Amino acid sequence: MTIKKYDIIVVGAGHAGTEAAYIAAVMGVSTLLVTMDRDNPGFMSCNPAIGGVGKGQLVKEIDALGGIMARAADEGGIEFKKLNTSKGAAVHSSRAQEDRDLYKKYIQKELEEKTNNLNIKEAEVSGLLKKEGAVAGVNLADGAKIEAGKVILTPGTFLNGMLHIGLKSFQGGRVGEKSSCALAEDLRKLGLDMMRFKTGTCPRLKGDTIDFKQMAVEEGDRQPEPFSLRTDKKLKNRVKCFTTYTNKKTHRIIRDGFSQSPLVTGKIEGTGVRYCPSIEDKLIRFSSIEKHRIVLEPESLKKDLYYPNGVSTSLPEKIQEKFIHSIRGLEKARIVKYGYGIEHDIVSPLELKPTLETKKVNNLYLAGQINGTTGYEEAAAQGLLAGINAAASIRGMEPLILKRHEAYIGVLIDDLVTKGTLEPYRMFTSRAEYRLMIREDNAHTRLIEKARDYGTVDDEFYHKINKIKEGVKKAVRIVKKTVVLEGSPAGRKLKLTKPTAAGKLFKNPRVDSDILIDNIKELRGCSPEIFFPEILKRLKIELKYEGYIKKQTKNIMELSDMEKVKLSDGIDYRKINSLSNEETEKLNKVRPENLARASRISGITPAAIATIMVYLKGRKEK
Amino acid sequence: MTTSLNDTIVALSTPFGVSALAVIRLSGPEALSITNRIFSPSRVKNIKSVKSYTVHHGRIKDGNKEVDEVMVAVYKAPHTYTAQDIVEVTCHGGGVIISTLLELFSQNGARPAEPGEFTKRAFLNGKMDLSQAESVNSLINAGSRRALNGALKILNGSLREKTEKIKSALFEVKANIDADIEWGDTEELEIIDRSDIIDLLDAARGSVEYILDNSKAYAGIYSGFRVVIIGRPNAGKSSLFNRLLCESRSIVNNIPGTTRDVIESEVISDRYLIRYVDTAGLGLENPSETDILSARKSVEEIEAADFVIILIDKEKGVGKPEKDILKIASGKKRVIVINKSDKAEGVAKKDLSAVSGESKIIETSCKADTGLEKLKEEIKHQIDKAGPEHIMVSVRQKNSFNETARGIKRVIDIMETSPVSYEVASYELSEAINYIGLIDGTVIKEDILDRIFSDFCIGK
Repeated sequence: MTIKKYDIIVVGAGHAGTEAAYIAAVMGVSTLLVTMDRDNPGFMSCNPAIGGVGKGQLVKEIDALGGIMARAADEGGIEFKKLNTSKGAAVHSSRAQEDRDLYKKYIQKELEEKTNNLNIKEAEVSGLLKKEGAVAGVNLADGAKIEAGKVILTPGTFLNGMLHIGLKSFQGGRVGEKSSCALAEDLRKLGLDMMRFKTGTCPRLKGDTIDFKQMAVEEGDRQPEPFSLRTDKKLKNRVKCFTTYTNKKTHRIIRDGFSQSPLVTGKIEGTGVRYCPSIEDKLIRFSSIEKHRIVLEPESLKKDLYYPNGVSTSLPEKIQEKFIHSIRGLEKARIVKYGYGIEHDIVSPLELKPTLETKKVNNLYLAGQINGTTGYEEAAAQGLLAGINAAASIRGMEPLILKRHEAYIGVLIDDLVTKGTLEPYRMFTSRAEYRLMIREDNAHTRLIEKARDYGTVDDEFYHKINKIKEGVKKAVRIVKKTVVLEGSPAGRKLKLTKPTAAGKLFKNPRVDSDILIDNIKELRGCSPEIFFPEILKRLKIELKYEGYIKKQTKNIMELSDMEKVKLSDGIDYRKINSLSNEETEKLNKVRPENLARASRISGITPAAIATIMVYLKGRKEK
Repeated sequence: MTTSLNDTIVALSTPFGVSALAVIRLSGPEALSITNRIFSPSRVKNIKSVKSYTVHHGRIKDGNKEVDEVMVAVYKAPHTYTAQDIVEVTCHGGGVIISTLLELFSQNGARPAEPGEFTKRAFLNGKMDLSQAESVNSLINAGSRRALNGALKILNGSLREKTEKIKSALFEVKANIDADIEWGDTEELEIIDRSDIIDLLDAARGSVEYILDNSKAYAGIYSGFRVVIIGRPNAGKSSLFNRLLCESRSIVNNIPGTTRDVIESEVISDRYLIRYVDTAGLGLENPSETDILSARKSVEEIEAADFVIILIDKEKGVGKPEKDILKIASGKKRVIVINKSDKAEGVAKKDLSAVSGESKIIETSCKADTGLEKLKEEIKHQIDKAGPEHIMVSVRQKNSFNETARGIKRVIDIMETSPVSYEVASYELSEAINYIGLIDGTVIKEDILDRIFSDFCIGK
């Protein structure tokens, strides 16, 4: 039985799936979101927080491009803390503790409001419907078939998921939820290169059994700032976090349990996350450290559950109890849900085009953990782009491929599809070579034109952002034209000894910018709104990084020349004699779209790039 | 190697060495304006406004100081070898002039060219036909491989060690700064203090500057590690001298001595510039006046040497001449070589222990071709021990050291200014690391995150 045909079917309703389905619907194509659990779209399965260094940037970009994560995080946010505020603006990163239920509710409400184009169906997808080598819909476990122009898979940890607690293991996507094995099998049959990754989560503790008096308190920001520029309401911190530490006794208990750890005994074979290690991993890799910090994060406003961030584990239940109880403040804590390790299948992201469509199978898009990433934000960013690109393709538009100097999302996808990943991939600002250019503060102005081109934002939002963008430009222009004379009132107040460029003075953190602004207003006779606080803040940042950005822009121009050199699918790298075997193999595997991308593949030398250039030139002349 | 076609490159087009004339070539959009900055033509006003395919006499100046009198040929795009503006400067041969000119051009905005880069440009700009494509390919590859091999060899001994240390210090600082950016607010990491970071950077900068101050840009200023061969007449000095030269890949120079008896020759072997000096024999029995003069010259040579080879004839053993020589060369780095070791009779190593002191003893035979490799190894070992002033760096590498030093200075300035812009410091560090990577030709692809994860326990 075949039912209604959709433009796009999204399989899975986690952070990737909900963004993909939402944005496709916004772009006006008929979309079906299939989930195994109708109650759970937008569920946060690991820690109750959104954002962080590198991740906050992704969330802001998602907002700029019309996605929902930022708004949901503002709506569900119960404690907001911007990170790195003691460092420069380029690395300021938003983060918030979330109420799981509020967050999920908001996501679901947004999805339901798009009913014109979006249906949600509870079902298990068992495989892909194929037509002439391309994907044409999905098969459901109950035997039904649904046709679609494009299919976006976002199965997360459910793809052939295997849970581990101690030496016990069982199939599942999360505790108490079954995994999708049939789908994994089907993907393998398509000839996609698959790998196995592992991740894990912490036990959850009952709030009223924790003795917070023994712990340090961590409070949110005094003036919380929203993730989304659509959020107008005033945000408040409504909960606190608490910190405690493991100790020698804790470590002894954990070490004694190593023989029953699936990680240590090698029962879990998948590759784990170095930056999100289990407590077992931490003790093995850094055996000399005598204590590890744990942050107790409330899971909701009700404060009934706490997430002890820092002690992800897959040890047996009894050992989890024992080591938790050895920690200060947690002596009587009751574990409501045990921590567990999970192994799941991923598809090597080298199988993907930068649109997130697979190279081997047309009309099949992958997003989220299936591509080897970890983290809600990374998943949502990919879901959003997969959704936009699938919808753009249906509507006959050019794909949206963000460049590395345009967005963290660009860095994320470019890293995945050109370098692949051997371990769960998490975003860090250090991955972005243009870190000084792509910042939280300019996420919206950077991307708003693209959002408008793809119809993912409404006019009102576009004009709001555009106004800021123009305002900053204008303010920069005015300031750069201004020289403060030593004899002027401002010059005297600032004790200048010679005429000084206003731009230079603005950059100096010790100079009171109010004096400068008064001076400029008077001098230029411009209206006061030129220096709105939002604009002024951005102005200073722009001036601070200006020189570096100019330098990097030169580099970007060079790369953009290389981007113009397209490498067609037809190139047989084995025919280029001067390439080494290793280079040939890598190029044949990744099949980069253009020369710039080829140059980023690890092990591809500049000499190899020159060789390819010469080869292409030669071929053209033949 | 950069793939850019749009900057201006410069290189010496004639083989390096002492010759009457040499040609330095520039290609790129700035070729004329860069030349204009340092060239004063005698007849025309401005080299930029001259016609294509013309040659102009004039002087190259470094500020007010005249460097050389040259001829400048101008070829304007597109009808040139590379389809870009080309300037060819014909200057006087000789290391000092060439290296000074190359450095001047590079200071004024030309990038020292990569091997094969002119040809690459010619091809990519459509100036060569298809049949040449493959040969260009192998040229580029061979070039880069050769450059890499050369670079690896150039960084021998102490210099290599120092460069590695600088690199690793910069990496350590960057790992700390980036770790602080990624986790400083959420984890308790043991990040190095700001003052310790500054100390590390200061030390790194000191090392770069030490190298810059002491190493010699090759193309000549430096005359080589002076190895003087000394011994009694007919001990085999000349055959050893010739063997040392012939075995070497390229004889650069051959200047007869200022007296009839001293002959010296420059050799580049494994990127070490070595100057071998063959002297007149010491200890003639009935010396003529000329012989006395020659002997005095030989003694002066010993004094000027970086390293002395004391040659002993196996059959003649240690007599008065040898004893005198050992005495004269007592304060010198030296090696005692027993030559003619193919002979059955004569002194052996053990017989010399009384007179050799700390000196190493090597047995050689020029005839049977034994022991020579050992001797050459010993010479290189001595050069390594002597420090960077005896190791050459290319103009391009010197450029990279300079940029590295400047980059480190900027990082130090940032670290000393409050509030510290860690993200800017990190950017400047990446630049400095890139430059030092260019020195030995290895592009650093070590992932900074790998370094962070191995150094810090990142917890959540």
